[in-house]
Amino acid sequence: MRKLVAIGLVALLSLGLAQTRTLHLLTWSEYIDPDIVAQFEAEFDARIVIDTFESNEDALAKLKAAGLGVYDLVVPTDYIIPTFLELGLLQPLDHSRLPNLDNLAKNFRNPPFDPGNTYTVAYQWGTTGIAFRKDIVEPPTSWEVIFNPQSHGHPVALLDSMREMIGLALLYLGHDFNSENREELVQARELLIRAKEGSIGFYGSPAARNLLLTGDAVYAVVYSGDALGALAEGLADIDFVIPSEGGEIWVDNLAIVANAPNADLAHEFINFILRPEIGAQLSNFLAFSTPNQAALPFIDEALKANPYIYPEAQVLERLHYIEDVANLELWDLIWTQVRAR
Amino acid sequence: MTKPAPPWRGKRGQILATVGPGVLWITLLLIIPSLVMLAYSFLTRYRFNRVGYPWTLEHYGTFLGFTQLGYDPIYLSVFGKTLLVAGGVAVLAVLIGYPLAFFIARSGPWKTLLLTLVIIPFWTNFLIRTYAWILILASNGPVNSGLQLLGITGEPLALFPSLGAVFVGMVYAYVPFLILPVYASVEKVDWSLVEAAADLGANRLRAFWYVIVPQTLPGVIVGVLLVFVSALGNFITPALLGGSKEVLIGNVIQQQFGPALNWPFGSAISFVVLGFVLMALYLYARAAGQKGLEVLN
Amino acid sequence: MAASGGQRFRAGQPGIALKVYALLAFLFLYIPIVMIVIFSFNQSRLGAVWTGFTLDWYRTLFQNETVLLATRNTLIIALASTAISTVVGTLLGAGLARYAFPGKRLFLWFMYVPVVIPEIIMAVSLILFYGLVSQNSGAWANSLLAYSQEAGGLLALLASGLGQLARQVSSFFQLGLGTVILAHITFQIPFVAIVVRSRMAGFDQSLEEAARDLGANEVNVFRYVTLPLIMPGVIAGGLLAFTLSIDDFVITFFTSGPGTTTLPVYIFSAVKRGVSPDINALSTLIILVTVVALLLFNWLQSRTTPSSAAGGSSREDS
Repeated sequence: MRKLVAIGLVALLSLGLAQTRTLHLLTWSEYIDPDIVAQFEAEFDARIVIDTFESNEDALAKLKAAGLGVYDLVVPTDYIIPTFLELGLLQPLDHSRLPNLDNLAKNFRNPPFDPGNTYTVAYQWGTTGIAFRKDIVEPPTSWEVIFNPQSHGHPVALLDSMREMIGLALLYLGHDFNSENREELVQARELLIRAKEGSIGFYGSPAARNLLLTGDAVYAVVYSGDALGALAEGLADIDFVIPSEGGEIWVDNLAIVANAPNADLAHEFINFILRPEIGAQLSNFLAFSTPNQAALPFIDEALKANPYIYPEAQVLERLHYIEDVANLELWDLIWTQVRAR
Repeated sequence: MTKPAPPWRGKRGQILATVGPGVLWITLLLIIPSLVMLAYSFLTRYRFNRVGYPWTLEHYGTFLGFTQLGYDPIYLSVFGKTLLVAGGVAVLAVLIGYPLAFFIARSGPWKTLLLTLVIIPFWTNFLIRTYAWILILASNGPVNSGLQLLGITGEPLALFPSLGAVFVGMVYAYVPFLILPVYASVEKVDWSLVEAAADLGANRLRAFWYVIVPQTLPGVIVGVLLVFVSALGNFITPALLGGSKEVLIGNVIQQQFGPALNWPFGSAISFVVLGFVLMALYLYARAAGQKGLEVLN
Repeated sequence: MAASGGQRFRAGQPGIALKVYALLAFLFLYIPIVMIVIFSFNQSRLGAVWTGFTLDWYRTLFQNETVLLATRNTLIIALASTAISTVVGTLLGAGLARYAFPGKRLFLWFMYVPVVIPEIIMAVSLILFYGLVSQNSGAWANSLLAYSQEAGGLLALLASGLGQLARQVSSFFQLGLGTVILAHITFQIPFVAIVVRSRMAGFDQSLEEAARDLGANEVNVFRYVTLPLIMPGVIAGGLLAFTLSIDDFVITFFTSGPGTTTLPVYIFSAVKRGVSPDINALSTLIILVTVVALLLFNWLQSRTTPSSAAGGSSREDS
C-alpha cells in the first residue's frame, strides 16, 4: 500500500511539472481512442485535457457556463451548429493550417450547416438505432420493442436526448422526424410516457451500452459506434440494428471555440485527426463512420460491411438528419412533460 | 452558557473585527447571489438563454402550470411528489434513526465508540454511499445473486433503477442527519422524571411516550428538518438510482441550469423551494425559540 | 443535568428488542460501505461473484491521469478554502460567543442559512452571481481599456490600470478553481463558527481578565491567551471544514469549470455510466481518509479544557 501511495504522490507532483502547451477539448464521453490522445501528446509535446458531455444541449450549457477563453475545441453535432454560430461561440478556421482538409470525403466538404467548412471539420458520423443482447433476443424489426416495452417484458434503456427520442417516436408513429405539428407532437409525447414507464430510464449512449453489458438492459437506444466499438467488446454479445421505420443519421464536427486559449494547437489537432492513419485508427476503435476519404482503405472490412455503419442507399433513405425547428420551445415543453410525468 | 458577556457599547471595534468578516462574506456570497437569483426569476428568457427585460411573471406562471399547450400542472405535481418523497424519507429516517440514537445514548461506556461508528457513514462521501446501492441492487449484484442462490427468484429482479431504490438511497444517506440531533436530545433527558413516572405507576410505554418523547422532541424536529430539506433539493439520488425516470424538483432545477438552458425559470423554481424552506425554518423558530438554536450546537 | 442510568426503572437500560433493532440499524448503515471495500479487491470486473483477491484496481487508479488531476484539484480547493474559512469562522465564532449585541438572535439565524439551504439553490445562485460579475467586469474592462487608448496622460494610465484589474476580476469569476474555492468558503464558515463557538461556551474567562489586568490590549489577549486555549476547537473546526470541502459535490458540480474536476464530481460522471471496480477502489481510499480524519477530530475534541461539559465527544452535527 505504501508503494502505491508513494507512486501516487510522485504522480501528483509530476503533474505539476507537466508540459505547458495544453489543449482543452470538450467532447462526447468515450469519443476518442486514448491511444490517439497519447500519440498526439507525444508528437506535439502537449497535453490534452478532456471534458465530456452527454448531449448537444449539455455541450451548449457547459460552453456557455464556462465562458469563452476556456475551451479550445468542441465537438457539436450538425443541427446545433447554427445555434453555436448565432451565439458567437465558434471562430473561423484557418484553412492554410489544415493541409489535410482535402482528405475529407466530398459530401463532407461544404456541408449545408456550414458552407465552405468555415467553422467546422467533420469528425465522425454515425447513426442512431437499437442495440440489443443478441444472446438473449432476436434482432428487432421494429421500434416497437423500444416504444412498447410492456409487450416483451425485457428491460429497455431510452436515450437521454430530446431531439432524438421525440424524433424517433414521431418516426414510429409515421410522422416526420422533425415535425412541428402539435397533435403529432402530443401523440409522440403520450407514446414516450408509456415507453418510459415500461423502461429502466433515460441514459447517455455509453451508459446505456454499459447497462447492456451488465444485463441490466436487453434493448437500448444508442449511437452506432457505442454499440459496436472497442468498448462494447468482450463482455457480452451486443449487436446493432436500425428497424424498418427508420432512424437518425448525424455528423459530429470539430470546431474551434471563440477566444480559444490555444487556437494554434487546436488547428494542429484537427489536422492530426485528418491524417489517414489516425482517421482510420479512430473509426476502427470507435466503430463510428469516418468522413475521411483517405482513411477508408484502412478501415476494418467487417465495419465497412456493416449496413448500419456504412449504409447503402436503401438504408440511407430511411435515415433522417435533425433539422432546425422554429418552435423549439414546444419541443422543450413536450420533453419536459415526458420527463416529469 | 457562560458568564454574562460585557456590554457591547464599548466593544464595537472588537465586534466588527470578529463578526464582521464572516457577515460580510456570507452577505456577499450568499445573500446577494440569492437576490440576483430573485431578480433573474422575473426577467424574460429569449432564445438560447439570453436574458433581458421586460420584467415578467411568466416563469412563476409556468411553474403554476400555464404552458403553450394549455394548463398542465406538471411542475406543481413534481414539487408535490418531492414533498411527499421528502416527507416519507424523513418518517423512515425517524423510524430507523430514533431507536438507534436512543440506544446509543443509553449505552453507558460504549457511547463514544458507538457514536463514532455512526458518524463514519455520516462523514463518508454522499456519492459513495449512493453508489453503494447501485452496486448492491444491480441485476448481477449481491442482492439479486443472493436471492437467486437461495432459490427465491429465478431471474434477476429489476430492483434498480426504481422509485424504491431512490427511497432506500435517500433514507440511507440521511439517517445520520437524524441520529445526531436526537442523540443530543436524549443526552439531555432528565431521567429523574422517568423515575418519578415509574413511582407514580406508569408502565414503560407510558413513561416513554409522556416523559421521554416530549423531551427528545426538539432533537427529532431538528433532525426531521435537516432530512426534509436535504431530500427536497436532492437531484443526485433520483438521477443515479432512479434512472432519470423519477424526476424530483431538484432534477428540474438542475435541468434548467443544464441542458434546458432556462436560467430565469430555474431561478423561479429555486425561489419557490427556497421560500418553502425558509418558511419551514421560520415556523420551527417560532415553535422552538431559543431552545431550538441550542440543540443545533 | 441528566442523571445517567436510572437503574431501578427498566426503561433506563435498553431492552433486548431495542438492542436487536439497533444492531439491524447498524448493519443497514455499514453493509453498503463494507460491500464497496470488499469489491474493491475483487478480481471480477462486474457482479457479485468473488473471483479472487487483487490490488489491480488500486494500481490502475494511480495511473489514471484524470483521477490524479481530480485529486490534485480536490486537495488544492480543500486546503485553500479551509485556510480562509477557518480564520474567518474562528473570528465569527469567537465574536458570537463573547459579545452580545442587538439583533444577535436574528443574526444567529442568518448564520445558519448556508447550513440549511438546499445546496442546489446555493450553487445555482452562485452561478448567476459569478456570471453577472464576470460579464460586467469584462464589459467595464473593455470600455476602460478602450478609453485609455484614446485618452492621454494620467487619466489614461488610471483607466488602463483599472481596466487590467477589471479584466483580472472578470477572468477570476469565470468558472474555475477560484469560483469553487469561494463557494466552499461560504458554506464552511458557519460550521467552523459553530464549532468554535460551542468550544468557547464553557470557557473560563479568568485568564483573559488576568491578561487584561496586566495591561494587554484586546488583540494581544486574543492572540496570546484566547487562541491557544481554543486551538483544539479551531483545529477541529478546520478539520470539519476540510472534510466538508473534500466531500462536496453539488456546489462544486455547478461552480467548477473545465479542468477543475474534483473527486466527487469525477465519481458522479463515472457512476452515471455504471458500476466500475476503479470506483470501488477510489471510494475505499476516500472512506479510509474520512475515517482517519474523523478519528483525528474525535481526539482533538476530547482534549477539552477542564471546565468544558462532559459531552465533549463529537456531537457536532450540521
